[in-house]
Amino acid sequence: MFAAAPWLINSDMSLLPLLQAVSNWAPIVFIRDSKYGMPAVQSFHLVGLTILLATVVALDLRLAGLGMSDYGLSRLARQLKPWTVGAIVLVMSSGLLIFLATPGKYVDSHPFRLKMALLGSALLFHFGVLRRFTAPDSVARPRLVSVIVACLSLTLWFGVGWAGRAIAFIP
Amino acid sequence: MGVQCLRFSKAKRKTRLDSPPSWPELFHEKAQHRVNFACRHFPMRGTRPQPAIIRGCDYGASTGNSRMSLFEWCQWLQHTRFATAITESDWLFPLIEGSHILALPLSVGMIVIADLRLLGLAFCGEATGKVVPSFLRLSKIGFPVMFLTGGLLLITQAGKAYGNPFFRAKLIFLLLAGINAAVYQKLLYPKMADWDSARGTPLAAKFCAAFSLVLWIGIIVCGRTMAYQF
Repeated sequence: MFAAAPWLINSDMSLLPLLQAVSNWAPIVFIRDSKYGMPAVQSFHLVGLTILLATVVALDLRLAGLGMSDYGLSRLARQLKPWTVGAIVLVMSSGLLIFLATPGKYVDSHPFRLKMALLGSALLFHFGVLRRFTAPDSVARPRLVSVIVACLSLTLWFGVGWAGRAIAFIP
Repeated sequence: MGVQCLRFSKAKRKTRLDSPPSWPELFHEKAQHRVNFACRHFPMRGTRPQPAIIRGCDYGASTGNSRMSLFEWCQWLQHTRFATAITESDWLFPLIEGSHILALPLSVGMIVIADLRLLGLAFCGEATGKVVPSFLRLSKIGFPVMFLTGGLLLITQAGKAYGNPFFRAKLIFLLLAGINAAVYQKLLYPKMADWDSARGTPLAAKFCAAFSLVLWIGIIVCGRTMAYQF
C-alpha cells in the first residue's frame, strides 16, 4: 500500500540503490534475462489472479444473492478462504518478482501507484469489512447493504486488475 | 418549444459546417494516415502501406495455386479495415485485451474450483453434486466474453499468431479441453449425485478433473507466453 505514495517509490527515492541492488541479484537477473523467465513468472501471476478473483466473485455473488444459493454465506466463505489466501500469496509473491525484475517499468508509473492503492484498499476491505458480513455469527442485514458491499468488493478487486493492465498502456 | 430548439440546432450546425472538406480531401487524409501507420510499424517494407502489399500479392497464383493459403488468409484478416481499426485505436485494444484477461476468473477460475472439488482439494465435506454444478453455472458467464474477446484479439494478430508455437499449443489445448468437457458432460455428469452417498468420486472423474486443470493452466501459460514473441 505504501508503494501507492509517489513520495515513497519514485526514481529519486533514497531506497533506489537498494532496489537496484536487489534487481541485480543473480536469481532476479536470471528471471529477467532468460528467454522464458518473465512469461513463466507472469503465468504464475495470472493463474493466481484467476483463482483469487474466482473465489472473490463466488463469495460476492452469494453475498448479493445472485448465485451459489445452495450454500449459507458463512459456510461458503469458510470453504473458499484457504484458496483466497493461497491465491493472494501466489499473486503477491509473483508480482513482487515481476516488480523486482523490471523496476524501471513501475517506479514512476501512475497506473502502478493506483494499482497498489487499490490493492491495499481491496485487502483491507476483504479482511476488514467483508469478513464481518460473512462471519457465522453476523446479524441479518438489509439486502441493499449486502449488495452495495458486494459491488464495492468487486469494484476494488477488478479495479486492481484493470489498473494492472493499464501499466502496459499508460505511462 | 421543441420545434424551436430543433431549428436553432439546425441553424447552428449550418454555420459550423459551412465549408466541409470535399471527399477527395477526406480520402487523401485517410490514405495518408494509413501510409504513416504502415511506415511506422513496418519500416522494413519500404514506404508502401501494408494493405496495398497484401492486396497486391498473388496469393500463390505464380505457383499454379490460385487459392489463398491459411497464412495468407490470416495476414489478410489482420489487415482488414476492421482489424486495423482495433489495432490503431488508443483504447479499443487495451479494453479488449483487459476484458480477455479479467474474464479468466469468471470462466477458467470457476472450472478450476470445480476440478479442485472433484480432486478432493477444495470444498471437502460438501456434496459434489451441489458444488460442481453451482460453479459450472457461473462459468457460463465468463466463456462467451472469453471467446468473443479472444476472437477479436485473434483477428487483430492473426498473421503474427499463425506461426507462433505457443498459439498453436493453446489451440490444441483448447480443443482437448473441449473434448474432455464433452466426455465429462456425457458420461460422468449424470451420475454425479450418486458419488456423495456411495464410494466417493470415481477415478475416471478425478482423471478428467486433473486433465482439465492441467489443460487450462497450460492455456493460460501459452496465452501469456505467445504475446512475448510478437
